[in-house]
Amino acid sequence: MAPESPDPRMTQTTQLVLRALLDHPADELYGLEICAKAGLPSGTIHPILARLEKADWLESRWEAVDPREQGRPRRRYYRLSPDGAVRARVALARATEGTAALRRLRPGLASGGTA
Amino acid sequence: MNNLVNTVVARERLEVARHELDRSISMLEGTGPKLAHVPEYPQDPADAWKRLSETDRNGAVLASAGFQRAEVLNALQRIQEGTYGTCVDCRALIPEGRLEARPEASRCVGCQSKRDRLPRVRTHAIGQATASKPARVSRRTQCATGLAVRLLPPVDRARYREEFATELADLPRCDQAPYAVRLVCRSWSLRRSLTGKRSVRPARVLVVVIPGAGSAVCLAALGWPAAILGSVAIMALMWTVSSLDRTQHLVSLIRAARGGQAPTRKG
Repeated sequence: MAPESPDPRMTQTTQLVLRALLDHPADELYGLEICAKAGLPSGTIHPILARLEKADWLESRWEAVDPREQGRPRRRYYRLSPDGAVRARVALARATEGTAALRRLRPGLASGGTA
Repeated sequence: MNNLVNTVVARERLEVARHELDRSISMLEGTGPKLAHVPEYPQDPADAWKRLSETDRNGAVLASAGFQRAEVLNALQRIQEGTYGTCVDCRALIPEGRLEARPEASRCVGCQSKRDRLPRVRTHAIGQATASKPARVSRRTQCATGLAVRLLPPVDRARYREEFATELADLPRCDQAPYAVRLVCRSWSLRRSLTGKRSVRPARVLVVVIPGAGSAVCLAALGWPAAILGSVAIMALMWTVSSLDRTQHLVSLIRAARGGQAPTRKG
């Protein structure tokens, strides 16, 4: 069968976001919390979240509160989909593998020597 | 005298707010059917954690409502004591507009934002963030956020307008403007993520072409070979700088290849 959607590009920031989400698989987090947990500046992750959501790795929903009662707008909560969690782990493992391959290519890098 | 009229109106509004808060608190405590149930999730034994996180979140909302209720009660107390409408920190009169927007306000805007800046949201813990009042957002920041939203496809605008507004409200005031700038900088990238199109960013093309063309014109005075070489070199440099996430990715790969050791120099 054909894959539903191509895997999103594993940039460094995408990896950080995925790690943050995988560290808290039981929680639904909103943008600021994900930023804080991933150690990224606020307002930088929406493109990544949108990409992951488009690839069905993430699911999101509005907070179930009345904004007027709360005195603030509703939050958009994000969570890894069960399938997404598996694929995220695989993709992260592959990314780490990539760096291992780079280390084999340039053994000098491993010792920190750049000369 | 003016104050007297205000306190009558304020008392009424505060009583209404107290009533509303009491109602929602009792609804949350009494496992309100609407709030505790999320219909889009199917019933599944493996879903226990979902329900757990739901109750956790209800707890946070409950804490927030309790906090607001305490503020309302404090304000009613201040009306009785005759100190309502003056800032509890600097004793200045709180402007009428602020009291109209937040009848329970105990501080003027200046003192409140000073206080908000102290221990808050940096540790974005859910309880803390909900418990603290939303910070005021400056008009320029709102404009910038609006621009970031307008750059998105029309179907997604409403969603992101609300999402950005929530995050802005939860950020301390000093972090709001940088947040809005980052949103604008990334709105094109977000647009591409939403539409799924992999196109070259027009901003990147401009960043590359304008300095390239400029240098070609300047160097033309030195003769054409210099002009061509110089502009190609500058365009290559601009391309590298402008595709920052690729550069960042490469840097991170190299860093990771160094074996995850501390990024300090080797001894």
